[in-house]
Amino acid sequence: MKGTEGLKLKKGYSLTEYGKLLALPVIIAFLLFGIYLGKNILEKKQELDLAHNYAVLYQVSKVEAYMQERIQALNIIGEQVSELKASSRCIIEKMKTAEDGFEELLVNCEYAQFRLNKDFPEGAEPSPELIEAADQLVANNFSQDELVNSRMPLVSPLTLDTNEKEKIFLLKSIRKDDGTYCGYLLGALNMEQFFGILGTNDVFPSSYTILLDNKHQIIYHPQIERDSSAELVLPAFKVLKNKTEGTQDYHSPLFKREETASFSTIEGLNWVVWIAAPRFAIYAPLYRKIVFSLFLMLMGFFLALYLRNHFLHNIALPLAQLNSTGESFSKGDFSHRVYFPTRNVPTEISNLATHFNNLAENLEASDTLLKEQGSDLEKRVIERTKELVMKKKETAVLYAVASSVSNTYKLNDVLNRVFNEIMSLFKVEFTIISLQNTNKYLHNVNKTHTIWRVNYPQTEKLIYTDAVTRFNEQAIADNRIISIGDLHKTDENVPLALRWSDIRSLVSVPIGYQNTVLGAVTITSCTPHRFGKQEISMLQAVCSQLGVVITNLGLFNLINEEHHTLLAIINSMNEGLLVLDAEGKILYINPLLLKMVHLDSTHWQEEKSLQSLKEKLNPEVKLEFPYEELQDSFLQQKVFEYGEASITYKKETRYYLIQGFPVMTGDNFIGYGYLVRDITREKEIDILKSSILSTVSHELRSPLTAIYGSAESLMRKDVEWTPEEQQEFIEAIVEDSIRLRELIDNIMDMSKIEAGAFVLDINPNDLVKMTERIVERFQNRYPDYRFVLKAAGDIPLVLFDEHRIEQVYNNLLENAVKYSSNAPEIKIEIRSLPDQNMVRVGVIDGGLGIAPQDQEAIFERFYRVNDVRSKQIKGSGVGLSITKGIVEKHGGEIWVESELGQGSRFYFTLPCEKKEEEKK
Amino acid sequence: MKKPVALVVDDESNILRFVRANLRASGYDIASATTGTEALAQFEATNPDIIILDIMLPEMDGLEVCRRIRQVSDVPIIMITAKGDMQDAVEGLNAGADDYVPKPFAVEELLARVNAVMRRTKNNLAQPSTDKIKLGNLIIDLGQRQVTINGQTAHLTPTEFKLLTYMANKADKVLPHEELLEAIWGKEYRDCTHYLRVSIGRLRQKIETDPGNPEYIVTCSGVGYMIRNVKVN
Repeated sequence: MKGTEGLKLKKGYSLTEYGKLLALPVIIAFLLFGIYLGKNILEKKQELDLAHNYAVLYQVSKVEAYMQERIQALNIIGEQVSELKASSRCIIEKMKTAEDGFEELLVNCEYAQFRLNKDFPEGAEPSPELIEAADQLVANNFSQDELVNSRMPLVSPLTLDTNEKEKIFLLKSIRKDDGTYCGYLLGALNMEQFFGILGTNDVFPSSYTILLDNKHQIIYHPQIERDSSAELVLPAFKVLKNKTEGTQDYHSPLFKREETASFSTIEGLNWVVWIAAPRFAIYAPLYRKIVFSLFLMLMGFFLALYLRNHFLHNIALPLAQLNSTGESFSKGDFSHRVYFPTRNVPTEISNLATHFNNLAENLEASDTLLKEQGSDLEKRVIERTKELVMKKKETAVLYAVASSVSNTYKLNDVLNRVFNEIMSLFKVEFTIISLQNTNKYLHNVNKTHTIWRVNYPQTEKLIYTDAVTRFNEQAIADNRIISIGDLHKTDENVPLALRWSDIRSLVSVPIGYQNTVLGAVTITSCTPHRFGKQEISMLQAVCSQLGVVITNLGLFNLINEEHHTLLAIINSMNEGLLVLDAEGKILYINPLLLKMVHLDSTHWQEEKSLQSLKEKLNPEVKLEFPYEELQDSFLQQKVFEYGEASITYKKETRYYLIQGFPVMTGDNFIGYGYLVRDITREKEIDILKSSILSTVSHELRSPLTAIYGSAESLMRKDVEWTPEEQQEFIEAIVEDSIRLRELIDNIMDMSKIEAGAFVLDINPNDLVKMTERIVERFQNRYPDYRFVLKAAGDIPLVLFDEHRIEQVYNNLLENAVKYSSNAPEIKIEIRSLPDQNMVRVGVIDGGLGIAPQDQEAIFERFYRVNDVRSKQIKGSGVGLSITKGIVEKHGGEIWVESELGQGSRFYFTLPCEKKEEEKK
Repeated sequence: MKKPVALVVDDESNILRFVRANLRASGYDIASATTGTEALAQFEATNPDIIILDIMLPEMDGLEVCRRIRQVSDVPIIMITAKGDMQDAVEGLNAGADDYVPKPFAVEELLARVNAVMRRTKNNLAQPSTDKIKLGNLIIDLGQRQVTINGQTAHLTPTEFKLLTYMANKADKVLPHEELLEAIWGKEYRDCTHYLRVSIGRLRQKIETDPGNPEYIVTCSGVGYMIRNVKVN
């Protein structure tokens, strides 16, 4: 694994990219080569320049040596002339030895005057013309100072001789013994001989030497015979003004070419040796070298170009072709082949192409074979798929039938769904389902269901339905499958309507469950022999499934209905219900019980144990529930049990009676239930009852005790009572007897009021007058209190029973007195209420007052306000009740307005006498 | 000899009148009151030997009066109750009354009960003794009429003291209800088990560390009570 990864290139490079990569070293090689060549060329140039310089130096040295030789020779002769002093013979001999190189030698001094040349090999006396010419020449070319002081021979510039020829003259001063100048030895150089040493130079082809004197006159120029053309050369010599040696490029007008000259000055003589040559001739080797180098580089470049193209054509392009063909292979196209247009492709690649082509051929062949086989397989697969689709559809129908129950519990919905499935499964024109033996739990199901896929007129549909139903009924009656391949050609008894109809074939299958036939399904088609064995068995499967579904649906609906009824009963109970299983887990809590403990209905679904449900309770809810006691008795005895519980929520306590009962199925104990009944009202009534009882008994017992005790005391034989004491006892007996009677009367009145047997003697009376009378009586009875009567405005006659209303006053005023010992002013207000045609009476005290919650209840019989202070005030608790009864019997109302500690205002209303106009 | 003083409290003047007359005839000096506060004032003023107290009183009811008096005195108190049920009677006994008479009552009965209560008190006074009974941490000082439990003094009414002493003298023996009732209250109380129940309850409140789970006075269900000589470690 790691190895193959190592072989992989991190990044794929194309062949051209590789070409580019290869170009780099080639370029570098070229660059190096170019540098090398350049350096070579420079070196060559330097070499050439150096050769040029050497040539100049060589000429210089030759000229210098030649001239030195002549000068020395002349010097020696000159010295000897001075010494010999005109021993002319001797001088001539000497001169002969030095003659070489000179064209003519001339001595002109005090001692001698003679000349020596090839015409006068033994010397001759010079002519005075010649002497004169020589003197003239000396004077022109040498200064007097030079002649006098110079020890060594002097060299003249190029000078014309007597024959008008350009000559160089050498002069040696001849001195006397004392050294004074006395004449000269003049030598004219043999120019031909001198030029001979110059002409031999051939450093470059066509190179030539020019020799210039100290005045830059051309001494020697190989091409110039006459100085007429010398000026053509002269411009090049301008450089000599500044430089004594060097190199100069210039255009030669003489040869009409570019020339390069190297020059150097001969020291002592101040002559310049100038060697010029055509520039081309000088640099010819250099140019050759450059051309050769360029040639080499071009060759290299072209070679590289050629190699690249060769590579591209013969390797890269074939490879690309292989690649593209391979790509089309990978896409499954085996028709491509690889052909290369040139024969220069490497063998390996062409072999590869051949293999590739062979492979493609093989693949194409096997592909074709595979396709042929594949189509056969495909056919079989399609057949099998069709089969499977059919099976799947069947399964889908069965599933739909089965699952339709989970979506709906209505048989009609189920049937509709089954219909749709059958239609889509069989693709038939018409389907009919008949049912029988349905029970009431199948929710008003239609006896016959039909569904059409073809569009017939309604009347025709009815006729066909009727006809096909007969097959359905037949199938039900016989509990067998009826299949008719062609209704037009059958022996079976076919109704006429179908004989000529479009419907050609049909199948009827009964729907059954166990041994009961529930109905039948008939499917019809306009194609004869439409239904094969497969279709029939499929329909059979659907029908048996349908049978199960219908039966289950009936059972389900039956159970569901019972369940709902039961639940409705439980939920409408006015009692809480809690059902626990044998382990104490919650099975059911009805909503009322949850409401009792102030819980949401969701809670018990979440909390399955009573304990955890208890923890869910609002912390404000205080629950006292004898759960454990009840559970114990269940677990041990499994019998009915009773208990009491109380729930306190927001300071309000409610009481509950708990009836526990074991839940049994047959003899099996499956849990226990609690019925929780709100008995708060009963409790309250109980408390009220005992309170009534104790009040009544107290009210009865107190006078009775006094009567009994007083009477007994009187009867005592062992005590002698004084007459006063006896009188007191008797009075007590009488007083309390009256009290007893009043009490009994009150109770009787109350009973009458309650029984509705209370008869009033109502007359129009003056209420104010009567009230005044009563107030006066009370004022007398309770002198400590102040009774104030206020009658506002005109009070009409009021309809009332005088005796009873007096009773009302008595009760209200007695109460006012009793409950307001601290504020002894009691107001009685009478006010007319014309709108209601009533008169309102108010009895107002400034006493204890009544708490709001008691204001309703004080009018109930035997109710006494449960308060420490009011407890100590005696009263039977029936007065206000009777008062209310009396007022209401009159058609009036009674109420109280009060606040604790703020006194009470009792009001009652009585109807007025009807006005005159109303009477009419 | 100085006459014993009876304080009669009732708001019903007619009842007050005949009770007073009959007690005076039986040899008592009478003080009377018609309200609860007046009763307390009279109690302080006259230091009565016996109090006849109605429950239903204005301003402060008889039970409260009884409780207040019990804080400072062991004087015998007989309650007069009007409500006929037992609840009233038990409340009265719980408040510290020695006896009760339900309305309406016969004069003879009231006098008999007054005598019985006086007799019980006198019995205590008539049997001065220097003996001490020790039951574990419970010490009954018969001479001082004082009971200490765990070193702390417990205030007992004469009836409670008598009952405790009686039982302590027969420690570790089951004493039937009837025997106790006869011995402490008198023959006529033989069947009044609620007297006994209330007194036992009050005793337990005073001497037991945990009255709900008594250590000394144990109940023998359906039979009677027993006081145990608790062993102290």
